[in-house]
Amino acid sequence: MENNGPRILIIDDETQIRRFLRVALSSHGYLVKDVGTGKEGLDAAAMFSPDLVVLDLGLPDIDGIEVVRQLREWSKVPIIILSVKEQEQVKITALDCGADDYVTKPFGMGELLARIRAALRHVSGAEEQPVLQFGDLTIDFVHRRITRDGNEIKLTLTEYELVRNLAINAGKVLTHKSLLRAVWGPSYENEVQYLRVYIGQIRRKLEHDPSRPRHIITEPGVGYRLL
Amino acid sequence: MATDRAAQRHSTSIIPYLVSCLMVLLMTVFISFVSAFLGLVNISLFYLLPVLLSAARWGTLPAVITGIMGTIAFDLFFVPPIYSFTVEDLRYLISFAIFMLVGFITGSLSDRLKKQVNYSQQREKSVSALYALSRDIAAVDKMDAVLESIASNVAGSMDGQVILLLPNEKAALELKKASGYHDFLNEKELAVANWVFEKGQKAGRETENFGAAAALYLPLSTEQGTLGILGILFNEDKVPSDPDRIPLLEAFAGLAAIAINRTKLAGQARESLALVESERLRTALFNSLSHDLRTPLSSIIGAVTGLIEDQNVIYSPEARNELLQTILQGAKRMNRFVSNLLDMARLESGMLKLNKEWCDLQDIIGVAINRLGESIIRRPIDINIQEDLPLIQADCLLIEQLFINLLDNALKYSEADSKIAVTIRRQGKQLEIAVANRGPGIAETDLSKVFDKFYRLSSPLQVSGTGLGLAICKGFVEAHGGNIWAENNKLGGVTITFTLPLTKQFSGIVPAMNEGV
Repeated sequence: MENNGPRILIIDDETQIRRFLRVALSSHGYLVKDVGTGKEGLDAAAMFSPDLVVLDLGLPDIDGIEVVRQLREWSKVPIIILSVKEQEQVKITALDCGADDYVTKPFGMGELLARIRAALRHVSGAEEQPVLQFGDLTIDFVHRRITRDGNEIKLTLTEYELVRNLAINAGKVLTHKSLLRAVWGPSYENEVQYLRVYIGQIRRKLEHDPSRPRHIITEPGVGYRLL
Repeated sequence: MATDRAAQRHSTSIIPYLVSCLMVLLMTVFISFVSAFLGLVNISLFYLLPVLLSAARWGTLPAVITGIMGTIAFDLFFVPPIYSFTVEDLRYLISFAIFMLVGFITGSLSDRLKKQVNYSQQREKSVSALYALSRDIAAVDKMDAVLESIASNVAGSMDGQVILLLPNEKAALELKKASGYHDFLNEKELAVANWVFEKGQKAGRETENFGAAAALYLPLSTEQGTLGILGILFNEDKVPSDPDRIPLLEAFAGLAAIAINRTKLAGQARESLALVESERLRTALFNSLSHDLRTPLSSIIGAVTGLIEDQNVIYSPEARNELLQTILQGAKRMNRFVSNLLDMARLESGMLKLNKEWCDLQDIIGVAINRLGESIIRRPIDINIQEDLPLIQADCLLIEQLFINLLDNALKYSEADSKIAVTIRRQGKQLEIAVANRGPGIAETDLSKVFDKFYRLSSPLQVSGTGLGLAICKGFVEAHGGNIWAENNKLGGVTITFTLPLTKQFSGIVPAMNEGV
């Protein structure tokens, strides 16, 4: 099979996982290389020059976070973390260290593909468009207008800024820290309650049913993403 | 006891003799005024009074002395020739002898009475001390508290330093409790204590064995053997030791032995109960593991082998899809089971650390519903959240899991199209969250059991589960300092309610952003 699509590097020590990822991703048109250790992963990141890295946090030789740090020293390549539920804190640290997104094992293929697409789109600058569409929502950056089914929704400045940050990273998780830093400034990066209040307000304006949001999705303990 | 000894000291001091002298003197002065009206016989009778008094008050010896003094005074001052002793006075030896006799008899009578009074006072003290000890040790059931109570009670009534030595795991005596200081317990003293422990006989001070030891050691003996040693170092007395204290101490030791034995047995009973309980849990875990892991595995392996071996494409696309769905469901079920086991293990090992942050329950319930996916989409869910619900400090991930388990439970134990209701409201200083379904009720006696590990209701609906979901909920809620309970609805179905305390309150004021757009 000849693949000329984006190049994906998989770093995971579990051969079973590597096998199924290799098969599934190449079937979706990606060019895949897989390695089992952090060292090999760092080497391959230089040699293979991937467009995206899928990184398991529990590697036998180097700490997953260390791999993220070393990669980020010289590369902006998107990194998607594979984690398990019990590594909640490590996952957040990895995201704050520069990883782009995560999926929790066990994950569905659809979920991983969506993350990969969002991360690649972000790199390609696909979001640098004046108007973005999310189902019934339309965000017009030029006129700073948000409409739902054609009806304009009035947002305060802060609310708009939150939505804008989520929208230009559409599909990607934004950690509490990064959102707080972007909207309120670095000295507020631990004030999660600000986000709780504002996201609640925004949902009441944007979502049909704020209890079952479809656009602004909470990633518990991690952050939010806009779909 | 101290006042007793003071009384004893009195009888050996010279005060009774001085007072007796004084009485004889006063009597002499008194009689000298009235002697004119009295005959000698009557005068001699007057001298009987001081004898009687001192006999009654101080016993034989002072009475006899008073008698002698009385005779001398009588002879000297009233028997002619006055102020001298003559041979004729020998007649009065008779009255002297009677004085002696009266003094002696009265004195010994009063001595006996006094001894009896002393004795019964002593008895009463011992009995009340023993009673106090028995009452105190009956009220406590922890070994440490029992030992504490023994040490303090014995020290309180014995006027000394009390130590309690019990064998440790290696059967070597170890100091377990001491009232006051215990530095007298050197190697030599410990050797005496060990001897007592081996032989089961008292030894040390005031006994025949190792009388040179500083303290007295008594065995705490029961039918099962010697449980330990009661040692006492008497505070240095100036007066001779009280012979009654050893029997009293022995009574204390007997009581202490019973109490220690009782506490030990109670502890063993508790342990064996816990053992039975853990045995029961192990069995339940095995059953659960074999059933709940094997069932989905069987369906997965069955479906997969069917697909792999399907060389001739016998299965229609619908059938293939069906088989794939079976695999997915089985795998998800196993995943849920493993998650539950891990959560339970985290709870039980004490590894659960709350990662508290500000949570919005409305948000979390949305996440939980999303996570439950297909199983809940077809269900009508009635979510009632009080307006202006405050944020709460909690571990959002645990609360999410809590909602997932409760909703999953509500779904499983009700008909496929019946309604689920979630209500969240503020009740004073806590939030109250209720999840209700319209399924069958639970017997009143079983309402609290649903939170037990591996407890599963028999339901007409074919319910698969681990029997851990609600036990985990209980663990998570209690870790947050809340309560959880189940009750039957009046109109059918079961409501499970939990509370979360509003420990801190968020002001609700959020500054507008710092950076302009």
